[in-house]
Order: sequence, then C-alpha cells, then structure tokens
Amino acid sequence: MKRLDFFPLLNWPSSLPSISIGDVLIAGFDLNETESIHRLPYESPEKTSLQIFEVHPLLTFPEVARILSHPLSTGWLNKDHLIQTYGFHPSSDFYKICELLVQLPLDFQNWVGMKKMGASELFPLLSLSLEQSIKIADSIIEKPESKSDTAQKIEWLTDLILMNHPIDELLTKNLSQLRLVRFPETSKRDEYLKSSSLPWSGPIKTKLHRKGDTAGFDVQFFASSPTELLKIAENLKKVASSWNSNLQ
Amino acid sequence: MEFQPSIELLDFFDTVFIDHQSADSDVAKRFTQIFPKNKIQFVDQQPWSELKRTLSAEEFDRSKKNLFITEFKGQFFKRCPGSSQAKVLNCCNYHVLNLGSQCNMNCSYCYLQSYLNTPIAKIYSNLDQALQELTDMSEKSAHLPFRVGTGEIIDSLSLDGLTLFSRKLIPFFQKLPHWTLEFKTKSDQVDQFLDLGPSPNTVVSWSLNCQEVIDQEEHRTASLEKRLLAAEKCIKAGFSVAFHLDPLIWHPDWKSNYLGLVNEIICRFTPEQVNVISMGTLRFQPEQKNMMRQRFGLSSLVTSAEMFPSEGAKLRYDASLRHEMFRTLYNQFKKNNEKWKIFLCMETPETWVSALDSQPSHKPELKELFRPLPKV
Repeated sequence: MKRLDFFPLLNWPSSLPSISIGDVLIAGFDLNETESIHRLPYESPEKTSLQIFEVHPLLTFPEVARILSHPLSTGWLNKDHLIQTYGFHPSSDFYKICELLVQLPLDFQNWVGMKKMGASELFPLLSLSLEQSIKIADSIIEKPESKSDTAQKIEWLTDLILMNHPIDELLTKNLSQLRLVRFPETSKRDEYLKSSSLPWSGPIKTKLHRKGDTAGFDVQFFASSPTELLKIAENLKKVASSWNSNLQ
Repeated sequence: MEFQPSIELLDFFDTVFIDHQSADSDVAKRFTQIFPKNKIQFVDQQPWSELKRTLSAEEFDRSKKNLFITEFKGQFFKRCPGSSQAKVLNCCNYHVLNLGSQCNMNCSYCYLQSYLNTPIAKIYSNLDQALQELTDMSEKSAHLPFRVGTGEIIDSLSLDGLTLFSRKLIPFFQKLPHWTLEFKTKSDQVDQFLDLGPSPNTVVSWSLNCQEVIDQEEHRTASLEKRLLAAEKCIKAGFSVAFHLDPLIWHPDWKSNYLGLVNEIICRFTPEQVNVISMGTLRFQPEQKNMMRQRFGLSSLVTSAEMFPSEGAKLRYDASLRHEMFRTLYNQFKKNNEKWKIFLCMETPETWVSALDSQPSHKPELKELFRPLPKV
C-alpha cells in the first residue's frame, strides 16, 4: 500500500478504519498490517481531491502544502482543484510558497497551521534563500508571537535582509526594534514631534501615537468645571499655535 | 508614407499574436506590415489563457514582451478609478478610454503589477466601437467639459507608433471642442501625430520625474530631457501639454532634485502653455509589495520606501512628509508665477488643506476641473 502521509496535525481517531483511495493510503497512517482499510475507488484526479476533502475537511495550509508536494500526488490528483476545494487561490506564488514551506522545520509548519496563517503572509520569504528562511522560521518557533505580529516580522525581516542588514543581528530584535530599523526616517520624524517642546500644561496628559500614515497625540484631560474646561481650551490653543509654527 | 516605428520597439516584442477575428482590423493589418513575419502568429484564442490567476513575477515579465491583438468586449469609456473613492479623495472628473492593457516600459512602482491578471499585453482592434461609444455620449454631453484619457492601463503613446490610434482619436476630438482628449506618457513618441495639429483640446501629458529617479525606477522610459523636448514639439505644433509630477519619490536629495525639476519646467514653459500640473506621491496597493520585491529587490527607492496604510487602502508615505513634498514644489511654482495650475492627484481633502491651504473647489484656477459632472 502506498502512503500519502502528509503528517496531519490531528490524530486519526482510533475508532475509525484507515482510508485509501485505490491503493494510496490517505488517512490512518498509524495502522498496523492486520487492520482493515476502507478503500474508496480511484476515479479521476478531480474526484480524488474531493475525496480527500471529504475525509479531511479541516486541513490547514501547511497540510495542503505537504499533500501538494508529496511525490505521489503528481498526476494522481488535480492540484489546482485541491487548492480551490480548501478555499485557497492557486497561483504560481502559492505553489512556490508550498514548495518552500515543506522545506522549513516541521515545528514551524505546524505553528503556521495552528495559527491559520495564510500563504500570502509567507510570500515575502520567496525573495530569500532557503537558508535565510530557515533561520527566520527557527527564530519564530523559538519565541512565538501573535499571528499578525509574526506576519509583520516576516515582512520586515525580509525587507531588511534584502537591504543587506546582517540577518543574525536582526533576529535578536523584537518587533518595535525592527520597526526603528525598517522606518528610520519616519521614526526620526515621530521622535522629533514627541520631543518638540509643545507647551502642554495643567491636567492634560498626552501620548504620541501613530495611526497608519499619520502621527499625532492622544490627548486626555479631566475638567471638573466650565472654568477649568476653558483653561484647558486656552492651553490647547497655545499648543496648536506652537505646533503649527514648528511645521513652518 | 506611413509612420515607421523604431527598430528598437519592434525588437522589444517576442511575438505578436493576432486573434483570427481581428485579422481584418486596421491595427492588425498594420502590425503584419511593420513586424517581421516570424514574429506574427494568428490564433483562435488568447495565448496562456489557462492562466486564470494572479500572475507571478516571471509571468508578469513575459506579459510585457508578447502582444495580443483582439477585440475588447466590454464598455470602453469609464470614469477614473479615483471617482469610486470620491468620499475620501478629491475627484478631478477624469474619464478613461482603455485601448489596450500592459506597458512596454517597466517602472518599479507601476500599479499594473497588482491590477493586471492577463498573461499578455493587449491592443484592442475595435477602436471604431470605442469611437461609436463616444459619439453616443456626445449626443447628450457635447457641451460638458469631459476629460478623456487613454493612459490608465497602458501608456497612451509608447506603442502609438505601432497602432497609430492617435491619428483617429485626435480628429474625432477636434469635432468636440468642449471635450479634452488626454494622452499620458513617459515616452517621447509624438512625431506620428504632430501633422494633425493645431488641436488645442488634445492635451499631451507627461509623467515627469527627476532624472535620478528615472534612472533608478522608470526603466525603459524616455529621459527627462527627451520628454521635455517632445512637449516643446507638441506646443509648437499647436497641441496643449500637461505635466504629472507623479509619483514623487522620497530619496535623500529629493528636495534639491525636485526643485531642479520644477526650475527646468519654469525655465522652458510658461503657465499659459501648460494646461495643468498634477502632483502625487508614491502610493501602491499592499498586495503589490510581493511582486515588486521579487522583480526589483530592495535596492529600489520604491520597495525600500517607508510606506504606511492610508485612505483607500493604499500604502503611502507618512502624511507630514507628503505635505512637505507637496508644499515645497507647489511654493516653488507659485513663487515663480501664481498662474501655474496645480492640483494633487488622488489625495484627501485633509492633504489639500494641510499642504496647499485650501480645497481645489476653492482655488479659482481649478474650480472647473473639480466641478462635479453627471455620471455616464
């Protein structure tokens, strides 16, 4: 019996028989020789991708990648069809990232699967060498972060490596440190705004904050009377005028 | 004698595929005359039509080198994509007439990298149908100041030496004096239509950049000097010209290089000679980043730029940097002469106010351009 073993994340329930399509085992890879196998007929490459989906309806992107890059799958199943069946979009880059992903450490692949990261979040790695991608994957597994922070980290690390920053040095940095290296001019501008001596006074608390393409201040104050509120408003006017003259 | 395109342009393309259904069109006949026989293939369907998916970097590169002459099946005449974001962006009433798609030039920031999903450059063979659409429109709206541009998803003129579409469009618009035909190009290909002038409602416009950015980011385009010389030729022949300082790209010497560009314009042209000048800073869709990274690496000023999510879901420079870039160039023009007509392309009302002190509808020289027109 041939085995399309794609190292599924979830164990196959022991109460269920192993399953094959024709003579290719697709589920229950831990079976021993004496156990029975539920055999589905092999009909066509298109039908095969549907049968796989019916048996494994919840596969993650790395699991699908492992099926696609398994030597048995070529010609045996319709790869575009399988990708679409699982709700992904087949493209040359999708195939390329699958090929790359299966060469990265299995722990990383499984982490990508558990976090439900999309193929496009890994696309930046296509611009790097395999060795560089493995280093990034190892560092992510070493200090796992949220899915969105990881996607951001992969993108900035790729950019900075391509900008000739030494990879080993970059991998020691956290996301906010990487931001400073990736956006040096904007960081300078933000720092300038933060340190500009705007005449905030009284009960006004401020914090510099970046929202997409703009930087500004979160302003917080407490007023217990109309007089106090007017005082604060006067102060805000002064700040606005000073900020304005800083811009000229 | 018909205009002869440059050998360099003919050499650029690997193959010209002609849809059998378009074989009798003027444009197909011309291509069979000017291209060597071994570069022409007649086909029943679009090559690489099995690729119905997002293009890879390699597929995108290949799509530039192969041309498909075929009929366009949809509606030619449309509003500029900026109008669909009219709630967040100021709209300048630009309409587009797409006579093909893809471009033989290769700018690192080109938005076609995230826009096109057809695996081959196209030239549409049914120009007559496009002109019929415009004729139908003109029956209702000949009196309205429509601006119609042909350079949305293809450079208006870089392939015009091959298609000679300009030679049909210019006479058509000469009969509609309230309408404006706008060619937008980074080439210097104008000789093929100059004899049709004077034609004041044909605006030949150039995307301009400082030579440093052209060298690094606008591959296979004409140099700044060649673009400006072509503009001078057009003025002499009785055409209007316009300039798009777009995209302005940050680099360490941006201030002196762009002020140099503004001074070059000021020295060679007068505000009366230049229909309008638009300015825009670098912007692109986030999805485009991956293809640009693969095609141009990170040594490009575009891929290495510090970009942030902004209005319309595009990535843009920090707003205060954009405002500074706009103000610097705008002030230089206005210091020279208040009459320069300058507007910002695809920018928010906040940027207009912050960079230029007021909204376009409050600037007398731009009022007409931004007056809302009926939908078509």
